Formats: sequence, C-alpha cells, structure tokens
Amino acid sequence: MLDIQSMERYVGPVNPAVYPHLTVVLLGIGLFFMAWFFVYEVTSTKYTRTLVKELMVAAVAAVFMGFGTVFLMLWVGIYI
Amino acid sequence: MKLAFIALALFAALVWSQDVEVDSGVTVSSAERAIDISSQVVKYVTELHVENGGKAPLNYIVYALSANEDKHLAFIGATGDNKNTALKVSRATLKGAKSDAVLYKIELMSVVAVGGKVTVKVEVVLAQHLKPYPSHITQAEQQFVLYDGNAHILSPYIIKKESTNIVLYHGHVESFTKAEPSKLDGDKLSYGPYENTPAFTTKDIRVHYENNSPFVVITRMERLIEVSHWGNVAIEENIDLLHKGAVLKGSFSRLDFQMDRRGNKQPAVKSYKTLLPAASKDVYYRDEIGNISTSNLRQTEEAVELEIRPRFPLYGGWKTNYVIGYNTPSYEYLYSSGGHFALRMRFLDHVFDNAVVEDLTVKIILPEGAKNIKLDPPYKVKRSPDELHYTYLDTTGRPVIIAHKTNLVEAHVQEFTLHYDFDRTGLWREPFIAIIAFYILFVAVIVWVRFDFTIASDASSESRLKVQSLVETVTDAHGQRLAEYEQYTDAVNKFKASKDTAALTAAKKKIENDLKNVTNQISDLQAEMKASSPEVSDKIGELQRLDKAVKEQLANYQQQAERLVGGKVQKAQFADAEKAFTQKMDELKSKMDTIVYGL
Repeated sequence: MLDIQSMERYVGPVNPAVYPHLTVVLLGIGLFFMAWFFVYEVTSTKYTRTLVKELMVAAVAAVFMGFGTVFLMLWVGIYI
Repeated sequence: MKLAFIALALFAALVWSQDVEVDSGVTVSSAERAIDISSQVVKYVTELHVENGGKAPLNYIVYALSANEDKHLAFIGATGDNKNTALKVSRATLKGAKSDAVLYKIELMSVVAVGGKVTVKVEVVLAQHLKPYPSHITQAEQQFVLYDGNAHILSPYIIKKESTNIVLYHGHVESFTKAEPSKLDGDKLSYGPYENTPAFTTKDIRVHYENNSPFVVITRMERLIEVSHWGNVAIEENIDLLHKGAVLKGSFSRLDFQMDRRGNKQPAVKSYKTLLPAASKDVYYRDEIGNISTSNLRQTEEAVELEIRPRFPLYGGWKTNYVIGYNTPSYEYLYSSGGHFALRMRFLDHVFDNAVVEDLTVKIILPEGAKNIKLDPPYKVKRSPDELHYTYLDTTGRPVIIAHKTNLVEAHVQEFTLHYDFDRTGLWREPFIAIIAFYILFVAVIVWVRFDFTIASDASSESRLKVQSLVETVTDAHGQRLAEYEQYTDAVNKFKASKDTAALTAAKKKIENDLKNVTNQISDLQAEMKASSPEVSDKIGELQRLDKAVKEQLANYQQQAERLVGGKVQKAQFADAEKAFTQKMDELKSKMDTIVYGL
C-alpha cells in the first residue's frame, strides 16, 4: 500500500471557477444546434430532408448539449 | 530453526498478552487525577509516575476502572514520555484478582529497567455516566446531576501519594461525600493527598451538583461522504438528537422561556456551534419540513462556524432531527498517485462540544468504477457489506463503503484513510452518457418524422409538396448562379487592374464550368416538373432565357475590358459601357428574382 505522504493532492480536471463560463458557452452552442435541428425537422418535408444533414446537426448538438449539461450540473452543485 | 522459535514465542506472546501480571515491587510514586464533570461527559486525566522496584524489566503497566465506570466507557487512551504518540491500550485480565475492577494493559514504548521510572498519562472519557437527579424537573428549575466515583485512583499498584481534583459545573453543590482530606472550593472539589494507598482501594464518593450544560446525546448519526473526481468531496450528516438530561415536567411555556433570565444557564438547548472544515462551502441545514433559517455561519481561520439553532429549544426528553451538508474541494482530503487514490478525512467530525454519539454510521460513496477498496480506520469499526448507490448519470452504480461504531465522544474525532484504484479516464463516462442520451433523443425525432400518420393519402398535396421541394432546389440553384455571376464580374474587374490574361482565362473557365452545371441542374428540374406543373416549368424556362441574356452581357463586358486593357477603347468610353452593363445586369437580376419569388 502506498504511503499517503508520497502521494500528491488531487485536483479536479476543470477549475470550478470556469464552470459558469463553460456552461453558458457550451449550452449556448448546443441550444443553437438543437434549435436548428428541430426547426429543420419540422419544416422539411419528406422530399427535402437529407438524413446525413440531420445526423450531423444532431451529433454536434448532442456533443455540446452533453458537455453543457454536465457542467451545468457541476455549476449548480451536483457533483457527479 | 532459531528464527522459527522466536516467531513462535512472539506469536504465543501475542495470543496470551491479554493475561497480565502485576509485580508487587512496582509502585506508583505519585499520581494526580483530574476529573472534569462540568459537561455531560466525565473526563479523567490521570498522570501516573511509575517506579519499577520489581525484579524484572517492565514493558507494560496496568490501569483499572471500576465495573460501573467501564460500563460507560467511551474512550481510553494513553501517552508516555513522548506526548505525541499514543500507547497501545487493550483490555486485560489479572490472574487471581479479587477486585471486580476492569483492567487495561498499557504497552510502553520502551522497556523500563529495574529501578527505572516512567510517566504515563491516561485519558478516559465516560459517556452518560452522570445521572440527573431529580430525574424530572419543571421549566423553571435547575438541573442537578449525580456523579458516582472513587476518592482514590483505582490501581493494581500501591500508590505512595495521590490526589484528585474535580472540576464541577459553575453552580450550586447540593452535597458531596467527604473523605478527609477533601475540600470544596467554588466549583472545584479536591480529594487527597492520600499516602500509601494499597492496591484496589475503593472509597465510593457521590457528588450531587447543579449541571445545566447541554445533556444532548446524538442517538443516531449518519455521515455520508461522497467523492467526486470532478474535484469535490460532499459531506452530509443526518443527526438525531435527544436531550437526556432531567425530563421536563409539566407544560412548556413559550412566554416563560422568552422571559427566562438565566440565559444559557437554563437546562434547555437553544443553540450550539458546529465546526465545519475551513474550506467548506454551500452549507445547508434542514430537516424533514425544509430549510431551517435560524442559523448563522461565520468564517474563521481554522474552521467555518455554524451556529445551529434547532426549530425549538430542546428540553429534557425532547428530541429533534436535522441534516447538515457542505462541499469541500477534493485537494483537502483526496491524494493521488497515477490511478491510485487515498481519501483521508475524519471518521467523526465535531458536532458540538462534549458531544456523545451513541450510534454512528459512516458511508463513503466512491466514484463509479473504483476498485481494490481498502479502509484503514483510526479505531476498531464494524464494516457492513459494501452497497451500490445510484445517482445522476450512473450505470453500474457507485461503491459505498459502510462502517459503524457505537458510543463515540470528541476524542474519537480522528482520521481514517481509504485507499482505492480508479481509472482517470472513467471520469469522461458521465459527459459521454449525457451526449448519448441527447443523441438518442434526436435520432428518435429523426425516426418519428419519417413515420406517415395520414389516414388517406392525398395525391394533390403530395404532388404540391414535391413541387415545393423542387422549387426549393431551383431557388438554391438560382442563388448559386447569382453568386457565379458576381464572381465573373469580379474576375473581369480584377483583370482590368492586373492585366493578367492567364488568370482571367483560368477564372473564366472555372466559373463557366460551374455555371454550366447549375444551368443543367435547373434544366433537369424543369423537365421533371413539366408533367406535374407546367406553369412552374414555363417560368423556369423563362429564367433560363434570362440566364442566357446575362451570360451575353457578361461576355460583352469581358470583351470591353479586354479592349480597354489592349488600349483599343478610351477610358471614358469604357466607363459608359460599364454603366450600361451594370444597369442591364441589375435589370436582368431583378427580373430573375421576380420569377424565382413567384414560383
């Protein structure tokens, strides 16, 4: 068993001071893409929509919304 | 062979070490005992100066407690000459002992040779040893308690000289047993000095005195420690309190309580201070009903002081329950080395001064995926089987380490160490799950919009939709074409300045090619629509005609530019041509736009 004296203090990978900024930026971008996605879904007809475009916009929206949500949780104090 | 023998001897020594022997030659040259009964706990600090007058070297000494005291024993600890290291204390039995005393063996750091001396300081804390007497009081009365003890220091050794000092609560002393020389001075009571006390001498004493300090006992406490590798350790304590002092008799009057001039000296608990770690933040204090707002928080150098004020004052026999929680940054308690982590924090933390905890459960929630967990407690605790805890963004559950201990006092505020292994990349599992969740939602929407929920198919609306989509494509293509025109004009203008024929040719080739593609695309769409909607098709045909005119204009403009560069036309002449071209282009573009918007 390692001696605790030889170990270094553990600090999280992201500074808590930037949680609000990360949340706002990531969720902002995420919401933009999500809005785009949903607008596209409801305005396109079966003759106009293209699956690749839908999946691409959804992927970008999901990545930003996913990270944004995690940082939102951390910001409000849900330390997951 | 020899080594094996020594190992066996050591093993034997360990197994039978609980049986102690008392050498009659060993004596206590002098002993002082300080008893503190000013709060709800009884604290003994006994300093023994031991002289080895026996025949064999001494490697342990024996400390004794009466059976009654032992029943209430919460903590026993000892230090030797070096005040910083605790000596090992364990229960022991003495062969042929006549007394009913309970013995504790204190192992010394170094062997005391024959004729040598050693000083040992023994600290004992008894919980719930003081008995309220009378057991029921009214709101206006004072709380009196009984302390039962021994005027002498109970010891298996002969004590040459001893004295005892008792610190009482600042108040009235009803009575105390006299054992000459004994003296009461204010709130201090002293017994002794006595000389040449034989082993196991007992002289029962009883002190009946006023003690209005809080007799609040934590009957149950659950301490939840949640470790997050995002850099946080969250602590939550769920506390059940019971005032175990003299039970309140009769009714409770809020008015009398408000007007009570005894202040903090009334036998009711109005508030107390909990010391939280200095780095704690987001402190909350609530119960089943919700937030309890009657509390104050103060930040000091060493700690965060939380003044807890229960919803109602606690009188004897009354109980309450509350939850306090806070966050602390992980660097305070969590240590790491690669994928190995160690959490070091207090098993029990301060709740209020001189607290007694009857039953403590500590639950440590580690991040998902923690393995090889090893708990290193500061004292003996009872481990329950590990559990799993599910919270936000969990899949397999977080391991929960559960440890119990009963009968704790402030001396048990000590640190445990928990070792575990955790893969650092496991941290990114949570955002990944969130991303997957969103993606599933979007894919569900993509699938949903592809379902056709119409009961009867409507051919006309169907074809209208189709035409609409084609028109959209035409509009897009038209936009692209406009951009190409613009590029063409720009290329010519650039040529005018640079006079670079090669660049113009290259640009023209590319643009003409692109334009051809777009035009072909539009022609195809026109053909496609011919059958379904001839009007639109005609309009697109007109658009194509206009496109031809635009192309002519562009070619013409390029020619003019070339002539200008070649010096065949005057600048003024060219300017006129340019003006005419711009005018014509605007005209054509607006015509095209009208058609496109009219589609």
